[in-house]
Amino acid sequence: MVDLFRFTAHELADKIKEKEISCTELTQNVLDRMDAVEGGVHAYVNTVKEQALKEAAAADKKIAAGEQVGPLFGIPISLKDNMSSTDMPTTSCSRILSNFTAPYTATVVEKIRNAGTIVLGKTNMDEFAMGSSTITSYYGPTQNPWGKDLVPGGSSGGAAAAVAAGEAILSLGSDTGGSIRQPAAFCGVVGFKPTYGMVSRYGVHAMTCSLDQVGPITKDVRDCALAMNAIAGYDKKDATSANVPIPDFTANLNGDIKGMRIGVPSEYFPSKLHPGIREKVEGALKLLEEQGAIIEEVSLPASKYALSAYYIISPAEISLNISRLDGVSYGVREDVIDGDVYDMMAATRAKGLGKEVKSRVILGTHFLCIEQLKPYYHKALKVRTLVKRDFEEVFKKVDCIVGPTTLTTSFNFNSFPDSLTLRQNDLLLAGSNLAGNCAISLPCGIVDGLPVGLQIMGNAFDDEKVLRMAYCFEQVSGIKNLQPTFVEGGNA
Amino acid sequence: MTPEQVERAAKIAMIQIGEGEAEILAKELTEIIDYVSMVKDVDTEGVPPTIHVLPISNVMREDEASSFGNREGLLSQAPETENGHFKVPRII
Amino acid sequence: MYDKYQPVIGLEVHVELKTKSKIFCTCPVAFGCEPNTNVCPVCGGLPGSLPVLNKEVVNMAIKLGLAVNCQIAEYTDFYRKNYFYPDLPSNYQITQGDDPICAKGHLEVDTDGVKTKVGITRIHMEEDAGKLVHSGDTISTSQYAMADFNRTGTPLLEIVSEPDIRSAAEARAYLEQLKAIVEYLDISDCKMEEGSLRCDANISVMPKGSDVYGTRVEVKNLNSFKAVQKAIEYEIYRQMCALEDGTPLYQETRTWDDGKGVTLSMRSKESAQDYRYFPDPNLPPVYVSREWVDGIRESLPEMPKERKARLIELGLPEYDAKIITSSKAMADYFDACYEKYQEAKAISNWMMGDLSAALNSAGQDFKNSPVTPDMLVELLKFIADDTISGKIAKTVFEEAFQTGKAPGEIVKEKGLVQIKDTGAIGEMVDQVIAANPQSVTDYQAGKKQAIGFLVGQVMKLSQGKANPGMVNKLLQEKLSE
Repeated sequence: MVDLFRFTAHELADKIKEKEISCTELTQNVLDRMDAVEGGVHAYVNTVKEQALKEAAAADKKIAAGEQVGPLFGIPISLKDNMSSTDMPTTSCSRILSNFTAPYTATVVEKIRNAGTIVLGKTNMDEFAMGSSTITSYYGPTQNPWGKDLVPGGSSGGAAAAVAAGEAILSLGSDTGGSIRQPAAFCGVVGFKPTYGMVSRYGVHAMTCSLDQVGPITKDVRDCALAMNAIAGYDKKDATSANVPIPDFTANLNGDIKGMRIGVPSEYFPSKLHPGIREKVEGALKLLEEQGAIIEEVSLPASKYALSAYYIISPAEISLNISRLDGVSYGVREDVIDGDVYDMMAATRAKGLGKEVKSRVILGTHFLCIEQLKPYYHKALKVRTLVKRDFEEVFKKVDCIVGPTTLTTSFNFNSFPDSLTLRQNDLLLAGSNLAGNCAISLPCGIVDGLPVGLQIMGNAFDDEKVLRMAYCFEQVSGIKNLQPTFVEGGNA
Repeated sequence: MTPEQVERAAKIAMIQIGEGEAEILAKELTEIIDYVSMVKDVDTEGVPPTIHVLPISNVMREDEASSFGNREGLLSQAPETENGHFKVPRII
Repeated sequence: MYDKYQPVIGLEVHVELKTKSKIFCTCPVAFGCEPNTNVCPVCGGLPGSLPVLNKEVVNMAIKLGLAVNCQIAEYTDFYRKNYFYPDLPSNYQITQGDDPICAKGHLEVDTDGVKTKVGITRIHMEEDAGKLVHSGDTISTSQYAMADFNRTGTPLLEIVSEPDIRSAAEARAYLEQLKAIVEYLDISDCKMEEGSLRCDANISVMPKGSDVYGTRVEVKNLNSFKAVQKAIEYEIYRQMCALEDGTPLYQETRTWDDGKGVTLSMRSKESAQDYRYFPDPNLPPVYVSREWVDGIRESLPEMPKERKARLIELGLPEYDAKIITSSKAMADYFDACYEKYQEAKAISNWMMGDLSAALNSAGQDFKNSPVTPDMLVELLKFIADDTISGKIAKTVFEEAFQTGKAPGEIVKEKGLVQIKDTGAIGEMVDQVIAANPQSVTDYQAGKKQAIGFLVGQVMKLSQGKANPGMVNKLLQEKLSE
């Protein structure tokens, strides 16, 4: 049996359509792969293997009956653990929701399932998506399939690791300040944060409502476009979802970027940038130029404040979004002997929420207190406007902005970079969230045996343009569907 | 951020904090607050705030009622119920 | 003491709107259901759920705003008000901030004939909380509580008045007139006892002539119009006494104990309170266009003030018009009668007299009166054309009220049609004259009042059905023979 788990979704879908393989074979193959490597990777926090096989069998019947099926039919996928569904728990990898099964289904889950995909389980993440290494999960960390004791990035670390390790053909993640793109870069896969409002947030646990966006993590750009075709679109249950026509995201995957303008902001190439990464990104720019793109230097001067605005707005929203976790009507309650309801709530939250979450809630609460509101939160909202204007100005001149996704490659669990580097790294990512723009990370090479992410950013609703440029780079560079070396042979 | 401010925020946020925790958190959070304080220096004269990043407005639904239909699913998640209510410790 | 001090009162009124669905989700707005049946992920505060605004709530808010002379905002948005309470599943209430849907209105208040203008600061939209049931007899001895989220997310309008009210009676009049307007607009059931109309009062007193307000006290738990008036009266008295005695007053929230007739300080567990008002990122703003407002303005029903003027034009005294228009149901009843029978005063007499009394004692109202406008009109016509006497009419009315039978049917069944036949009445007169020689002699001897007795006897003989005028006339004729 060939290793079906190594193929992309569109390759596998073709094989299914041509009856070269069955959905059951494919699902079984990916589940076998999971059995082989999951012990080391720990990408998943919940799996539904039997359900997946049943669904695969049902899918095979449809194929046999000659039913028309879509381009993701029969593809085994994973969902981030913050996406509600009724068939297994949705915990956001928090102790407080560790016993929680949602009584309803997120729109994005309905949509990806309606495309005929087969859900294998829910993937590990930083607790309530707060983190960038998947180490704040209540269920313990995920291992990057590329090397021992390396972080997968986060918060969608489990999702990226699952795709990289062949434990899912594609995954859905969510991105608040880089939570799709950064793990995608660290794990050598493609991660796309669509324009804010492109994909419904209904049923996806909120971290920062004004920044969160769901997107795909895939093995190549075409899979990413196919997943976008399945999940994008207006949802009347999400008042912030954009009621705009949804294009066929695969329509312009043709390698033609002649005349497209690329902006390169100096702010995205700080001194902390790993020289190897700089080299790869510069190489990528050169390659794009050779394809007919026009490169020009641009500036995003508000970048230096962007992160401060992010560090204020995000905890402020978090502090309120986390309020509902109080042990009253769902979740794990901490009983307090002879206590009243407030004692119960305070104890439930103290024990049920992890350190990082509590710290952000307390910080956000502080920012929203009456005396801090104006100098911090209100000011941050205005700075956000400046950040957005910066991008708008630049996108008047260029089609895409290109730079690195991260300043470093994946690092060891025990040797995190200094806080300044971590912050500057967030800076490359959070701008797109603050401005509501779209951005993709795709592999552009290997440095010291680890994958490097190229980030292509686009204006709001230019998702198609970003995918088109990413696809061109992928075709010309030949860098796609990377197979991580470490996870092979039971190393992980 | 002082330990007293941490304690006050924790109280408002309904999070019990342990002995000495306020001091540690105050130190950690002060570092972040110091960093983000740079927003204070940005000239935002005449700049409107961005609350909603997309210029979306007037998103409303018609007044049509439909029941959720999964009461059991809701109640089954409760730590404690009584006669279809969510049961909680006493409220003073 | 009362002429030394000036009370200053402002009211915060909450009105539960009778939309079909809740403000931010599609759960039905319904009362008296099994606990937690009208709950979904949104109003149940589940992680991942998102609110979507019900347009009808905005429509109703604009209606009320126009009816109380408010400016309708061109831009309005939603805020989260944050506090932990187990009846609030997300631990924040979605309400409005500095840009409420309506602001700067006023209501003309008539307090026992004295007319004043009470300013309305703002009207905003918000969601209601759930209901808590406490175990045990009192909250303080309660061991546990039970939460029902059926009411969570029911749309509310909060109407905040300026501190323009100067007496308990004026406060009550303001509230009654506001209620009438809301009823006329048909946007709420407005039942204080069921909580669909709620009122909190902010009360302070200051020395007369001062322009510095005294310490403000908020009084809650006012469950009837009477309670509003009594609680404010009590609180004014308490505060004046405190000022006289020099005892300190605190800015605090007090609760009205209806049984004891006093306000009590609400001692809640000490907590750091900071609502952290915060724009809700899940709800985009609403821009209200001129066309939208104009469309609603055109569809507004007649308001109490206009209706009262119209009834006066129809010939009602001002007093009658005021009583009848104080409740929409009563005014509608009047109009339904008047449409078929253009005797305004006759209608109002019966409505304010026998019908009101009967409805009151039966605990019913004009909306579902057993005597329908059609039935009342039928009865009034019988009286007008002398088919039945006024006295018989009362009997017919009572029967109609009890059984729901049409007056015509009752009159026919019981043979209550007035006797106007000279021959028949003449026979009865002859009988009575024959049976009462003493009275006849008295009358003929000049004791004219004796005729009253004889009329009574004829009426009795006719079982009340004889036309009294004819009886009188015939008796006089016969006795003079």
